[in-house]
Amino acid sequence: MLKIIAVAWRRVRYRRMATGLTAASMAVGAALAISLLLVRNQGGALLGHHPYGFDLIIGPKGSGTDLTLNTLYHFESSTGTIPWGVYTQLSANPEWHPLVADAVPLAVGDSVAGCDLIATTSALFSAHRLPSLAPGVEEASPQTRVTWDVGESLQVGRGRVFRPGTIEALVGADVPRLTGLELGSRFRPTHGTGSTINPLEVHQRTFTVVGVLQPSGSVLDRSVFVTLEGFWSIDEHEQGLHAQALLGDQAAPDALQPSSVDAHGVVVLGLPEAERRISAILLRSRSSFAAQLLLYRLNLGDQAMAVNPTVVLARLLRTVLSPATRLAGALIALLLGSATLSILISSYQSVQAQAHELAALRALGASRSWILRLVCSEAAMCGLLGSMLGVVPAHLLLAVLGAWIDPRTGWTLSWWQPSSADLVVVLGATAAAGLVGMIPGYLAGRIPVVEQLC
Amino acid sequence: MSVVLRGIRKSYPDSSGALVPVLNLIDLLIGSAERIALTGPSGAGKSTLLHLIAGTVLPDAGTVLHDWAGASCSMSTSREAVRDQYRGRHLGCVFQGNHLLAALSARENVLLGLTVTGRPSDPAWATELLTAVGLGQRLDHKPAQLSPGQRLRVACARALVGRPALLLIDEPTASLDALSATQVLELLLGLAAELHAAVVVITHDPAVAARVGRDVPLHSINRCVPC
Repeated sequence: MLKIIAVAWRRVRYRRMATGLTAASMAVGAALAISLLLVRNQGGALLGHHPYGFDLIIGPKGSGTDLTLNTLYHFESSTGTIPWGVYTQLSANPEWHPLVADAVPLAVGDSVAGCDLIATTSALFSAHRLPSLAPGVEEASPQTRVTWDVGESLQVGRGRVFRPGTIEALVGADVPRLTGLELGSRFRPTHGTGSTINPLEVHQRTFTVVGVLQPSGSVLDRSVFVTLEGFWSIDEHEQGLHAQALLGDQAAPDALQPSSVDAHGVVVLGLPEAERRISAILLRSRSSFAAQLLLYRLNLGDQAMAVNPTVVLARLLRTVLSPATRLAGALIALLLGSATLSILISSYQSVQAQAHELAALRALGASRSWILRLVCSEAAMCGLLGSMLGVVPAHLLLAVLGAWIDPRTGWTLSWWQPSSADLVVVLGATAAAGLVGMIPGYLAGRIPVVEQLC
Repeated sequence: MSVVLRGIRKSYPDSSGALVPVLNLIDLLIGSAERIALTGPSGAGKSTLLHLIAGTVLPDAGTVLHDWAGASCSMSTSREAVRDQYRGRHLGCVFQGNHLLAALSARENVLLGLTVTGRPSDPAWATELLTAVGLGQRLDHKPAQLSPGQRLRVACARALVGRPALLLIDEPTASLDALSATQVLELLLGLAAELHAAVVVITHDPAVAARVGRDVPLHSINRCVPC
């Protein structure tokens, strides 16, 4: 049966050039709109989750946002260091220890062929971390909710975790591809990270890769993990830390005993414990109350500060991403609006050009509402066709963007997966086109039949 | 069973806005299966009268009453939707220029006569009609692929597909040569006779009027002379 939809489709297909141009206009708008939606959704999701499953980040006093972003996403350089004693106090002191479920120290500042080097302990790779319920997470709106992955994603894929106190290294899932480092490879770290890397400042300490992590979809995939002892044993580090201790009157004036490595690959540190420093501590508290208490107590002291990364990120998402989201929303509306306007113009011109056909339909007995439905269907088809044509370019655009972002941040954008954004834009564009089609459709129903047919 | 036109008046505004009477006090009766040729020179108001009968335009005064096969409708007072529905179900129209949908094939154009009024499609009947008008081999051709005469035949088949009680034809032979015009007219009249449909043909050609049947010169029923 020749239904109204079939008639509309035949007419749309017959006007190939006009339909093609209108659909192309819609496709451009839809592609940009879908890309923006995908970036917005995935950007928020990527910033809002991290394989680290910890409640608090402890670091040098200063900006909590900088500390969080540097620790979790390796943005910019490290914000400074805190004494190693802060960590030992948290993990062993009876006053603090009951509040702490896990504490993992981190030291950063070096890189390997562009990949950040993180000195830590094997505790970072312990399985079955629970997602934290950090205080303040409830304050986040649904759009800016911050969630944490369970730490299980930080699992070793090949090889093993480094032995404590050695000069062994574990590399992220992307590191072999990016640097050529494989199990058994040896490397020497370079001083600096990101834009501060100085390729001429290559440290003398050599590390051996003993394991490769499974992919986590985060910046950790392009990070290299070594032991803290191995990190401190680097000449420049121990000399620098010793000099820093001397300046702060915390070091004995004795000459620094250089570190060495024994026959088993275990580091014998020359740097006294009091002079050792780290960049940050990841901490998981035993309860929400314990987290609050730790936050309060640590921030009272003068050696370090604690931040709840969930709260920091939620605030960041609210203050930065929400306006960006609104701007993106406005842009999406503008793009789709202009594309829909082109459909309106095209539909109106089509009605004007084919007024005699529409008048003939009226003379055959077609009601005004039949004509209205016909024209609306044609406009909706243009919207549907154009927006569907925009889906593939949108994902390709995201792939290009992902290829640019990935090496810089470690964030992998899922460009190939169909998204709800596709459906939203396609349905929205189709509905909007169908709605604007009502204007020419209404006018088409009022074409004076006698004038057209006589 | 008939169409009754009584006291029909129709005027159109000229460029200055003044109303120019075209039809004045027209009275006409079209009986069941009757064949009428409305004749007159160009601009006499023949097409306007046809559209008044079809209900695509309303008279300024007077009544147009259809009463066919138990269904009746006042084309001068009924709501537009009612007139559309009635026209689609009981009348068949062939207008000057044919106005087929360029995007549809010959058969789809014929079926359109049923589709627009929501009646079930009948492809077999459409094919039969097109075969009857000599286009059995061109069912899937688009209008652009047909000659003017063939397009007129498709328009005739489209007008007949709904088995109308009244067939309204406006200048059917205007764009055809004499031989083709004769063939198409005979074909149309023959098919209308098979369907027992009344026929009103608008023409300025006395030869066409003679073939149709009762010749009604418009000036004989129109009490005003157009400017």
